[in-house]
Amino acid sequence: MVYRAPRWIIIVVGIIACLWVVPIIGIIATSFQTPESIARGWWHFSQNQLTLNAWKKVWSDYPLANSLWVSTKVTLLATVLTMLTAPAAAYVFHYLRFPLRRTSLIIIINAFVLPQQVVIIPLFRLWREMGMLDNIWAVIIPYVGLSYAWSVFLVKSFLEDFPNDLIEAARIDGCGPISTFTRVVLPNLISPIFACGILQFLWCWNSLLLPMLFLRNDVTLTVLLARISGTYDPNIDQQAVAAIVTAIVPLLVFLIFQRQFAVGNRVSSGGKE
Amino acid sequence: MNGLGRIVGALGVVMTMAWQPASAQPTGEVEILNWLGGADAAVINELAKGFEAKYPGVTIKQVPVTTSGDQRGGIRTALLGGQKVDLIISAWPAFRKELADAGMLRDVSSVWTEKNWDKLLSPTWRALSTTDGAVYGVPYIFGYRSGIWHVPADLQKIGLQAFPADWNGFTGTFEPLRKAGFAEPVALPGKIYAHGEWFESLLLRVGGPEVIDDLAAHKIKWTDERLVKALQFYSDMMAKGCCASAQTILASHWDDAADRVFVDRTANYLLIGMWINARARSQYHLVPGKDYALGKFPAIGLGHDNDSLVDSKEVLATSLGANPEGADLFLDYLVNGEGAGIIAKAGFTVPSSAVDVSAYDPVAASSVDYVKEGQVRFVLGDMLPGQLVDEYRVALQKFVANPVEAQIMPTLEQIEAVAAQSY
Amino acid sequence: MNSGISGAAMTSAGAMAAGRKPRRQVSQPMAAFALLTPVVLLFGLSVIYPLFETIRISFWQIRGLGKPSYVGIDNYVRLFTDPTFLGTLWTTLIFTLGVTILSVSIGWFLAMLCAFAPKQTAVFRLMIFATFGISEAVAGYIWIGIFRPGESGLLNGMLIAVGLGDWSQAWLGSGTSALVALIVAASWSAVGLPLLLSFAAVQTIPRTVLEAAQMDGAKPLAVVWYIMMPLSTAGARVAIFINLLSALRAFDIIFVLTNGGPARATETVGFFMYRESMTQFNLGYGAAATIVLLVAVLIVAIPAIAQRTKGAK
Repeated sequence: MVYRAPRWIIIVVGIIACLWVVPIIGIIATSFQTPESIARGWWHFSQNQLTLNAWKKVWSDYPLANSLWVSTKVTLLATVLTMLTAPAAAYVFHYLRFPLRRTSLIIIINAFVLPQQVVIIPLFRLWREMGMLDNIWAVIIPYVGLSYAWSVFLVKSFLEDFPNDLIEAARIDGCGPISTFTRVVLPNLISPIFACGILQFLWCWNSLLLPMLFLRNDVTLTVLLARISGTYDPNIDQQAVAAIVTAIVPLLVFLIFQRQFAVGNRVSSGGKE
Repeated sequence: MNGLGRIVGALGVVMTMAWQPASAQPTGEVEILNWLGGADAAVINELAKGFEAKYPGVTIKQVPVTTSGDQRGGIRTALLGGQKVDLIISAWPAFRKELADAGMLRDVSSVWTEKNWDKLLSPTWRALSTTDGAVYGVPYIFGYRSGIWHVPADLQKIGLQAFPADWNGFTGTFEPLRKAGFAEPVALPGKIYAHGEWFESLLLRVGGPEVIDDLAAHKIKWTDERLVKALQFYSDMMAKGCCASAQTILASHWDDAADRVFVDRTANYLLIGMWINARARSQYHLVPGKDYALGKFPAIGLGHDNDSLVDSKEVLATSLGANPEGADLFLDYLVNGEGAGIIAKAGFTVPSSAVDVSAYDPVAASSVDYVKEGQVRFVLGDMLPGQLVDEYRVALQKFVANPVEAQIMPTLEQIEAVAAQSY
Repeated sequence: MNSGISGAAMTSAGAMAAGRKPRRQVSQPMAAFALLTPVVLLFGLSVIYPLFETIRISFWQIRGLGKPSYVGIDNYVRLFTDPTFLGTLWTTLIFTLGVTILSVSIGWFLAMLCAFAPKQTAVFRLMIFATFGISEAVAGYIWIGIFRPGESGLLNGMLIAVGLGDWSQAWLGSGTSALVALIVAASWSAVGLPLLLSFAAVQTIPRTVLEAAQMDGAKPLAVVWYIMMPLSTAGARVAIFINLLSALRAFDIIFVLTNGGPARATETVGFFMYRESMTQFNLGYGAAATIVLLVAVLIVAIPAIAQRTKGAK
């Protein structure tokens, strides 16, 4: 910690960060103001009236606890599955040689272009025939399957800076491809794996389309709160509450895990020198 | 998998019940596909509660569908995926026709006669609910769409005691209003569809119900002279300084336009549906009839000055459901006093005459009176096939941005080109 | 120069291997098969199967719930003569590149600045990253409030307050300013990702390198340009990829903020696909648009991937 950062850097970052949270302050202010105040503009703090109405209404009208639990269950399972399987795929594509390697890699990565509604109708039919509707796996499976499009690429991208001498050493020591992966590669991929985890968590948590169509009785938080706005009553104040309630959990997750995420990736520096 | 077991079990119950003679009290589960949110959804919840209390043997199961964008996408996805429901809520005649053409609806004409709904629903409502000669459900909420919202106190500033009754009187207020400090006499929200409301009401005044019917069915071309005439009126209104700049028009939606009329008080007139009534009361805390009022679309003297455009929400019976008796019972509940009363109490206007006009606030009551004065048609936009609606609204956006006489024919020709391929 | 973690990994690997030296190695294709099985299963079920369905229905005309009819390549022919679709291509290019360049350059630059003082900027990073967790639709509503016409819009209000009232306008009402507004709004929430990934990448640069640079008298911006940027491309690369493709399929924010307007000026291919498939329910036509987009991305991506795979081996 010898390096001293010039003060202006902190000031610049601080100013940008403050600018960046203006819309978030807008969301928070909106959730506490009366509708006519919102119509005037939430930033007229001196004239606007404050109220807890929107919070009370969301609290009393929507069974938040159950949906929080469903959201947590679905998101956690989907996240863990992605964190377990995507690195394996990335490793396989990066180091192993097998038929159709490049073709399948291109297909997987390009799947990111597929819009979700393309997936929805065929899957809806399939789940229906299999009796999987209203089952959380109907949502988790596509979450994980669709995540490979970016998660494999993300991990593979970090593998490109992975020191080859480590792999070589493991091979000379007699490690097979699978033990090379579990013993050498995996422990050094903590940071990109956590990056995958955080992204997957955020996306699954905020996803609306799949759970909306595939779940019925126990729905996720986003589905529950999607019905706040009617066709002709946007109820922006309650939507703001919903946005805050929905955003809190991923933010906490990020806070807790950002340490794992920033530390641990020392390997590429090792390889570079 | 116990969730699945429950559903199968429930279905079994419903199936066995369906075999019982019709005279027995219906039981089982009635599934209703509900895509509504906000206040509209609250009404359905109340109705379900009231219905279940009255018929203890029947439960209403709501199958919720929500989509970003157009709700019909979610409904179609669910139906194509094989979702079996007894009832579907719809707000678009064009969608009703699509469902009917796909064989998913059940004709309830005989039920209509048997349960004597004619007593409570006028022939107008039956006509509006009819698709190719068949009736598939009942309307339970309607809204007047040819009404112009305004703040009487603001009009009094230029000495106007009542909302102007005819077109010249109406357009003649623009200049005095501007002089009195109002930035835009007419708040014209052109971002999505509300700029079409002016065209549609003008068209109704010019050509009457027939032109709406014929145009919706594409029996006449979009280049018909009555449409030209309607756009000439539109152009006239713009030339007399009704509105803000084209850029502001295209940037605004009905909600911020309403804010400008009721909160900022920088605009005067807004032509949009009855949902403004709920917004004005519950969000702006204004008193209907006193703080704000609803004017009837001005007369132009071509013989159709008392006709109105409306929208409605209806509950349709499907041919897919396992419990048609239960479904019919729910429709009956909507039409009769108890159900209709619940809807009216929530602040909506109801087609059923089981509700007394005195139950409404003055503004809602005035809208009901306007509707009774003449013939009634559904707003045009909701009757056109999907592709055409988009093109129609975009072409009108371009017209509104440049509302000169010379643009009228190109605008209509552009819509006609798409209409020719849409049926 | 290996740091602790990889060193530990190497010793454990060595120890393990030393224990059972004569063990037969699994062949590479076999190992690949074993490790890929779950991926292939899940991916096949949720992507490949729907993808084949999409290709199949792109040869059918489906209008809403009506009976589908086989039309061969008609949908594709129509697509390339549809002025609306062709118009979306240009908009897509500007929107996608605009969002990607803006968000990644800001995020990456911020990440490098933050790397000078990771502790002091932690709160700021969190503030910026928080925008990433806001759903597109809610972000759209908030940005409408900012871009609203008249004085009740925050942007206009601020311009008037600082004496630039002449600049105030209905931002979403003209094609150009609406597209710019859309790019700004979409970039706002997209900055979190490049910030996160680039920061992780910059963090991997050993402090000793930075200290040495400072000892040599290098200015912070020079450190950013000559040391941090070249050594943190891994994070930025992934961020570019994800943000580019996210922008390509953006729907909610466009729907809420501009609805593709005014007069289709902000309609992207992603929005077009969604509108055709979900709103119009022209499933066949929407599917054809999806396939065209997929092929287009494939054509752009293959050289990049080919080059990358060549470089890796």
